[in-house]
Amino acid sequence: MRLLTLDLERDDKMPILEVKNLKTYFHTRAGSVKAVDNVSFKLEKGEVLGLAGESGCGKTTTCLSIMRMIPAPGEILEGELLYDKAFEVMDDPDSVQSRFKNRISRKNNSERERTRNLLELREHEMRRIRGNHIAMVFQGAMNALNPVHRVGNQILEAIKIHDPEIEKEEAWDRVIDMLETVGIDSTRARDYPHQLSGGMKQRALIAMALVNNPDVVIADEPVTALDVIVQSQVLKATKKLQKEFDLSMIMITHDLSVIAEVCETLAIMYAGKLVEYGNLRTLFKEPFHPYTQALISAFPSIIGPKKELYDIGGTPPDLRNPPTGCRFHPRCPKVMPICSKEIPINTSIKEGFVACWLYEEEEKRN
Amino acid sequence: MTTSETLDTSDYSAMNFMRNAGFLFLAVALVNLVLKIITEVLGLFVLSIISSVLLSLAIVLLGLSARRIALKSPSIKRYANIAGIFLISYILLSIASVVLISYPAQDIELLFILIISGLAVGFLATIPRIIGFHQLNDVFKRLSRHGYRMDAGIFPLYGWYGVLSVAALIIAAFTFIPGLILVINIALIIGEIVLLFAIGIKLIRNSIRLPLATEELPAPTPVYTPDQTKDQEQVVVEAVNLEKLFPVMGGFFQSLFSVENMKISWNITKKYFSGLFSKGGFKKFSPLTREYFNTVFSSGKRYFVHAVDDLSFKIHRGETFGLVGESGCGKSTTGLLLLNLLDSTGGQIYFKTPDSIILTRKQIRDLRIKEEKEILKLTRRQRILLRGDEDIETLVLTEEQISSVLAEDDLKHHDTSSIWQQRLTWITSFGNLLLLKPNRITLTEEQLLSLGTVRRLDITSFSVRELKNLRKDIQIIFQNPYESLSPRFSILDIIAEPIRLLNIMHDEAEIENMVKQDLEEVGLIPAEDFIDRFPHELSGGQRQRVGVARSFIVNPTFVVADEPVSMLDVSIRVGVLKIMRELTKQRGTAFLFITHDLALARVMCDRIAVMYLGRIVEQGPTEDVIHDSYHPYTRALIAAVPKPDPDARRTEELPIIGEVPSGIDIGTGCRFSPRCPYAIEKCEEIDPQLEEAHEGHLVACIRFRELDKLE
Repeated sequence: MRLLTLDLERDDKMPILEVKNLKTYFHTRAGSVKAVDNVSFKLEKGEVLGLAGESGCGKTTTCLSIMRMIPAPGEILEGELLYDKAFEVMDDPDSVQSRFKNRISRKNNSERERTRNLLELREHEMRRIRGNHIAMVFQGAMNALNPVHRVGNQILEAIKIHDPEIEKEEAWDRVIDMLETVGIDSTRARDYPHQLSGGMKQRALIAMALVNNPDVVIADEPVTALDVIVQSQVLKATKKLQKEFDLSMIMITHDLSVIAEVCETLAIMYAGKLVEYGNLRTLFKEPFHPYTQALISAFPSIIGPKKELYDIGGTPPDLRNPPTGCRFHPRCPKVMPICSKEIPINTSIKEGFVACWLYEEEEKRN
Repeated sequence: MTTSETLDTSDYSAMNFMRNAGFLFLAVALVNLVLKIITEVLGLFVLSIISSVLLSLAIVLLGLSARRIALKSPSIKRYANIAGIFLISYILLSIASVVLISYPAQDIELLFILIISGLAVGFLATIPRIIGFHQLNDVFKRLSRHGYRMDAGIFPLYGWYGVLSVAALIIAAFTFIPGLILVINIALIIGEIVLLFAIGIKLIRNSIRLPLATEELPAPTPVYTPDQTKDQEQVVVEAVNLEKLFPVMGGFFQSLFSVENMKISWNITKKYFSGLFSKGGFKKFSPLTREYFNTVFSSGKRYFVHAVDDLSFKIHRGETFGLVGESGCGKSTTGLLLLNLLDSTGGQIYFKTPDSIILTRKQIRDLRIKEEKEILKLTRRQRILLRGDEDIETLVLTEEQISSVLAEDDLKHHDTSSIWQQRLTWITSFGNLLLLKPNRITLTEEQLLSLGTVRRLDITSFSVRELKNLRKDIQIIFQNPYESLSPRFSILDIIAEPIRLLNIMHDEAEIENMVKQDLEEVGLIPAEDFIDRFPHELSGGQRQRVGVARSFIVNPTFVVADEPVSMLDVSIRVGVLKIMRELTKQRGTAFLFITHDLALARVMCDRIAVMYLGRIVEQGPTEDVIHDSYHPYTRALIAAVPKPDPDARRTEELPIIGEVPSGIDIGTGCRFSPRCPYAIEKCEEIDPQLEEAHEGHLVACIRFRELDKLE
């Protein structure tokens, strides 16, 4: 339910979602786990962003931070999550001015930015964002559905939570429509999850995410547990829906090949940091960051000549005590003395940036 | 499917026991007859002790034979053991009873007390007698499910007869009607003798027809000459028509609640149980699981998951063979079958041992029996007795050959010639009971080669003990390194466990050295830092390296790796893969790599087989299968694999629809035909077999040549 349609002057080129300097730490007894550290990226309208990295590198935490669903020991310390329509869900948009006076502003940003910041929203306002504006397809299709409720009812629940006054028939029609859109026969709406196959469950989850017409969909490992053929079918369906609804998507996955199939922009995370961000095609042809290079050459391919896989070696660092300087330097084949001392600055490259001293130096030289 | 009704060679001794027991029962009956007459006429009660002893011996023999056959199955063995305990206590009690009754006391009172207590003990003895014979009957019944044609329904009767006789005697003794006790006694004795006769004859008949499945005698076993072609030399593992069916209980409740189904179930049940008592009895693959469940619980439908169905392939030395397919296609089951961690329901797995072969007692006996067969030109009946070993490919050696290669130590305590002689007497006497045999003989590869013998063994017929020996040669690497390492074991203990369990080495210092060496080989350097750690201190990649080290420490000939890197991250995966490849290539290990990831299989494997619903649909050299695939399923699978290259993005839809159907209800014809875009009517009728498309590249599709032209 959109309470209000406030027409902010909108720049068409403005990204629909912008993450700026996001820092999410988990405070454990053994120390703070720096799961997401200074991550910034933008998501344009209709863009599909692939967020890739090894497990534990902070992909999922980044996205949960966007949804503001970080579980207990975790905390968003800093940063801004700028979402266009954050304004719309506020209780009392007229008194926005006064509201911000009373709150501690995290940074001295312009008022306009503050009104777009999801982190400034109160919890009940944030609930209006979740599902309606930004939806999430959760990891593990096999376990994400409740086994004791019918699939259709579970999707219906998603509608009713956001629109409690909706007629049941109308809501059910929407469920059926949505299921057919994602490619599940409407007769299966009254099935229980165990009666559906893995691919269908995943489709049902996608339907659940899309049923409230969100602008942004975050898909967390949407095809990981599926077989190749089903995986390919689900990916095709996802891509089709994304075009149809003009969705902006963030696709989290550890599988670069999945990203190569679906996404347009690629963001690579390593140990809580975004190390490279840019156009997918450019990055696949010419990766800048040594980690991206290693990751791409560590992936086996079924096409092209048979090539030797690259072994990165070493293990991902402990995020309680990440290496100083560049976090990849202990495993980096092109390590330089400066890497272990100073944190690399984001150097802009074609349509994106890379966080590596190699290019910083080059830029200086130029 | 092929159900193997192979009889173990350990059955021969069981048959001996049984037949001997049968003869003894007959003898007991005769002796009883004579003795009872003598004792009744002359009052020489002492003599009846002899009869008791003979009877005891017969029962002991019977128990031994049952136990010998039952060795194959632990559950039956338990029954046999219970039977044995009860029968022995029965024997002891009845001897005590006889001794008490026939004790020649002068004092009348004492005599009376002795007789009363003897009768009481005798009565007490009937309890273990009943239980023991019932158990024995159970053993035989169970055995009949394993392909033995036994009927021993007379045992319980004999058990209960004890109560009858003792009760009758007691009643007769206390009614004090003159003559009655004599009449009852004579009647009882006649009954007993008749029963003993019946049991004896039954046992002898059983023992004769034990392995007799059909009347048709097979042609004499051809002496196996090893295939000298290079290919055969290099084959380490060969699966032939491997099959695994899992029974499903799916239709049970349906059949419970449907009246019609219940009627059908009742009819079948009746038929099934009447079949129990017919001449045929059970088959090895028991109707209880197969036809019965098929029909009763599913009303005519087949209710088996065909996890692995008629699978044949070979893996050569130093070769990495990939099994690729979607989940549920049976690739993991195949891996477990090859390791004999699951019992197959059909087919054979031939395994070639490279270094040495340990012959167990059974196999040694096997050698000799074969030899006797050659030498003695057995009569028909004796050949029947020896039947059943043609499926097990064993060594055919002469006695001189064996003694020429065996170390003297092995036969230190056994004079071969005397053993030989005793073996020869086996056919005509009972006298092989106390025969001493060496427990096992180890032949090295050289010794085997010098004999020109077969080095392939069908491991599906291996006993537990033999499998333990086999474990030195076959190993597994598990999928999930977080679950496959015991959290309470140090790394040293984890890796040393196979060495300790398989008794390869006993010196702890030596073991530690070996583990260190092994750790260094898998890239956990320095090894000293790792041996005292526990699994929780290691990362996923390091854990899986420990898993690899554990499998390779026994220097196996064949390793099964079931999705070994699917739990690992990309950056770590490559390291583990490289180590596995290095180790297998260095040591010439045959490697079965099971994965769902075709791209990964391409990197790792020399040859791959694509599986679909328990069948191999295409098999060949990796690059051949990936670039020149014939089967529509392989093509779809390759098309579906996401490519790490945005330019190779697929635009067209996959031609195949839906998901893998369940393996339960597989109709005739090609399994892929319901999803195949090129399926024609013929596809639903003909079950395609693997055909050679070109050298080494096999395809199971009836249209693959046409399809190749189409494109």
